[in-house]
Amino acid sequence: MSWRLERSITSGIAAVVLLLVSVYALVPVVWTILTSLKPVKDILAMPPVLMFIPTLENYQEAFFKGGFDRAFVNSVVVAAGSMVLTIVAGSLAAYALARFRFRGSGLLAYVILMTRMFPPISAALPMFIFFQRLGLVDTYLGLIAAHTTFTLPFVVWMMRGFFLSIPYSLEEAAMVDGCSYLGALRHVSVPLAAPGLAATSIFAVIGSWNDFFFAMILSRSSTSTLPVTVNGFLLEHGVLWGQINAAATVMMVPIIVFTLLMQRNLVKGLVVGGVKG
Amino acid sequence: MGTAATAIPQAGRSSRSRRRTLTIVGFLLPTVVLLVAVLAIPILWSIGLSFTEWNILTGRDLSFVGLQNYLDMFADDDFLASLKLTLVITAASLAFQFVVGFGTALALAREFRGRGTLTTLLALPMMIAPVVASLQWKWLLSLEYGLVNWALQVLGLSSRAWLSDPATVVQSLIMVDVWHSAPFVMLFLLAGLQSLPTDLYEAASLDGASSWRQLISVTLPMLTPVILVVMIYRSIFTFRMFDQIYVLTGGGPASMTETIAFFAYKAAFQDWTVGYGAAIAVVMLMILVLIGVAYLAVLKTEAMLD
Repeated sequence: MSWRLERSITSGIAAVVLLLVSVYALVPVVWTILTSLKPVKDILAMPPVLMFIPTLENYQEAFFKGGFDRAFVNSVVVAAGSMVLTIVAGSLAAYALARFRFRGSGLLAYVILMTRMFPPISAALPMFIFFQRLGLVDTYLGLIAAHTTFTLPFVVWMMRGFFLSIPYSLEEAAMVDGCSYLGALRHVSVPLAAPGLAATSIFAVIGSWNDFFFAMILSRSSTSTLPVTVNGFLLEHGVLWGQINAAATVMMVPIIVFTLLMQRNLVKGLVVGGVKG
Repeated sequence: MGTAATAIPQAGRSSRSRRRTLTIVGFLLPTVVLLVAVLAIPILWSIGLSFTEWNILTGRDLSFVGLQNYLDMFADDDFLASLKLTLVITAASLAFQFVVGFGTALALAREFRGRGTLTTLLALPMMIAPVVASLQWKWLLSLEYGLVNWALQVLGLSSRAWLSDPATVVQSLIMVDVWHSAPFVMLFLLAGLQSLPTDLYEAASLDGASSWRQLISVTLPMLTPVILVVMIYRSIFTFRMFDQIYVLTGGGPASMTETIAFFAYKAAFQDWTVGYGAAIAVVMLMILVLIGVAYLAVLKTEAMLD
């Protein structure tokens, strides 16, 4: 068939595919946000109501009666703490692995990559037992340490990729001018790797923010994070869908904002640090 | 950018060399200490725990039972069913993740206005917490109030209790996992597609090859390394799926959706047979390490590692 016709057909197929996938991908997100803004009687109405008067009552119920205000603070504290700890420790290690070719540096990098493969329970179970003895259950410190298991290897691997993509000549020049290794890192490498650092930090925060398993096992009433509280709400109260959707929206919105902000760096960050190298 | 150009060479003089070594150790120390403390030690401890039987509630009665937990495991029908279920779900989910991810990537391959924004929007499901994703789908799949059943009724089809009907629960779980994981595949395959050299396509067009033929004979072979890497990577996370099971079905109906991660959790934290739970965790670990080794092997073969 003619080239023109074929091109139109493939464009048409592409458009249909994108439409279907967009519906699949985005309807759950949009529907959750819409439901969270509906008055309770409209939530349970069948057929589903599309025109309604938006209300914040679900959010008020969830936050002031459901304990989500506490959970929100906990999630923020744990995510921020994990991020700071792993970015600092991870970037230093990544720099060492990227710049210094010492015996076993390659092996160490692969070992760190392999730690992503471990099933969380093999770390969580002993951690729970240890933390019980040490009184670290239901503490920020314990949960931040637990989150380090998956954020740290990720940060090391991503930052290593970013540092490797920066030519060494610039740091070399800085050190000729009298900088120490740490100084060169601070004044040359970090500014250059800043976009990568930003993307990595966001991924680290998201990883901690979204964690359910460690939070469920290691937190109790004072430090339970949003994912745990959201789910606990489902079990206890059964069908308070309005509040559950409100809580889900609160959990989703920061993620959506970050993702949209990261737009250009999304693939770059994943590809540079995640799979390739 | 070759690694030789980015490496700090070994210094000649000993004080310089000592400074270099100290710097390396200093930079690596926090990470290594943390990883040993939160990963290495717990995992070793898990392995040790798997050889014991321990009543953790009383804290007493710890006895060394050797390989008994492992022997019990492979005689346990529930465990074997769980393992089989996990393999089925993983295989099916991976297949659909690939179809949806690759199809979307192909559809996004050509430039059009708003493509970047659409790509980012389509990437959203993978960024959302699995717990939140599960809650969203639980709401959508609700028998009385769910949008999915309403849409089916409008189309003249019958509504179903997706998550409590044994006939549909596994498909529903797969569908939610695909929703969550396909964007990752899409992003990588899109990046892969965009990095393919165009001259091969031009040559194929000149030879009169149709788009479909080009896809099969040019695109797929060249993308195979990326596809392999991404799918093996995804298999790790689908295999150890936990959050979705916990939220969507709680392992039900009648324990039929207990994936291996959930099974291990139940053994350790609900039945409190921590020795058994640890043994299951160790088996999971071994399977995942095998997958991880395959992953590294593919990366090395395709020279994707530096």
